[in-house]
Amino acid sequence: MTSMQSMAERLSALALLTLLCAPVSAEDTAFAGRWWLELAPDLVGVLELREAGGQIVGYVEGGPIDVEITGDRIVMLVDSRDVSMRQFNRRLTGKLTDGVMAGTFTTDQVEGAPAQPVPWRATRGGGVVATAGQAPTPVNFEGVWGRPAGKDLRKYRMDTTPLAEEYVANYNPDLDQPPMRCMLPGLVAQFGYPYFLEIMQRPERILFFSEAFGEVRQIYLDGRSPPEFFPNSADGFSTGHFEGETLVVETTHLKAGIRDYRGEPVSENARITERYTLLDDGQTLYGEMTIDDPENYRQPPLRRTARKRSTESILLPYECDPDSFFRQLYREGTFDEYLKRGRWRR
Amino acid sequence: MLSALRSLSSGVIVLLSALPAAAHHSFAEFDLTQTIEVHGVVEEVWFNNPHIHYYLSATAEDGSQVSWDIYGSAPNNLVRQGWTRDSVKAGDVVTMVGNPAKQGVPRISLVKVIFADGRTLQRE
Repeated sequence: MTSMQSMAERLSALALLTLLCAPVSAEDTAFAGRWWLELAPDLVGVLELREAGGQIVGYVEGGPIDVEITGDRIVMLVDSRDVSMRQFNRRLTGKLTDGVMAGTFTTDQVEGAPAQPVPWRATRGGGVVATAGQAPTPVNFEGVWGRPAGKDLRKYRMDTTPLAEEYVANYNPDLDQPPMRCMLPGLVAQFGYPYFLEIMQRPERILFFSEAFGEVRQIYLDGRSPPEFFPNSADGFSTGHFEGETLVVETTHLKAGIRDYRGEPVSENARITERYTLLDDGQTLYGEMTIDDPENYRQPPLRRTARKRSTESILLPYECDPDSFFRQLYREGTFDEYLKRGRWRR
Repeated sequence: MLSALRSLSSGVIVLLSALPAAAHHSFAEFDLTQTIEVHGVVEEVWFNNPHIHYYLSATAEDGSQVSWDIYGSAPNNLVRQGWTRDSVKAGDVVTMVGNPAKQGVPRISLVKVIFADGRTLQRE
């Protein structure tokens, strides 16, 4: 490293430090709160800006982003991934006007990304807004719901603890992912799975039938507690209640699992909150999941899903045979490695 | 890595990139920036969850037979597209188009099947 490079990096670090320590101004507080973020043409996400330790910090889908606010202008750097796990950044620049943020963004490191800046905006509300304290007015969620529609930002970086980072560093997606062995991946990982979902509902209980794995989730609405010695499992123990027309589901008793493909962990002490609501005159089932798991995340990751009502399909059977996975290990000579990885497998 | 793949089968041709539809496990093991073709005879059809597989015998440059693992989508997603257990049969002579595994092993993530008569099956 040359001395010039070193100096430049020190200056850059100093600028960042200055930015992070900048006092929060009245203009900054106008940015604080939850925003519904829309990136053209069809990406959506939840943005949260808040004051912490005298500075404004930002999160997208619960994962930290870099934020710079100057007067009524904002710059955000949002990291993402594609389906091949390639990471890249979107740089959003914009302005707050009459309670709406709007501007343009560019995308780096992606082949085929638009060369010209693309519009974005952020508005208050969107998704499931705060419903606590609203009188319950139960609605009927029954029906067959299609594969999750729409595209999310695939926010990559979460505010992980060293414990979580150690797990991810040792995780091998080729060998450790539960569904490859026909095992349920857990409530969190399965939230956005590309399979149909059917809901049946009674006053005291709601049943979620997932096409994937033929899984059945029971959500008790009668206020019961889990029985003594209730075993921890991939789906845990779920209770629900209505806040207004929003179904709020809280889950405990999970067994240790994963949040996503790359193996970000979910501990057995995690507490999962889901909020479901109907949109588009009952034709869209929208859900948000918050993962409170301080062992692994300093800030709860957020997941969202939107499914269109299906009137043409029923759930298809799901019979799973792990033969092809073990055959692959045999063919490619990785079976011994698989056997040694019990510590990381969930 | 691609040169290694080419050496595995004389029928391998590098094509353009294609991204898969949503899947329920990682596609990080495949190089989605590359697409290759593998030409051969279907040895076995494995149409089950969690993902379908076709095992394809292709001739390598040295004349030996290489068994390729053609890694497909989830059966239910394919069935809804009209793609069934019998769409590809053992003994069919086909060209499989897909994204190669990063590890340089004879395995691809299937994008399209091209039959001997020119018909195609394309993943959504």
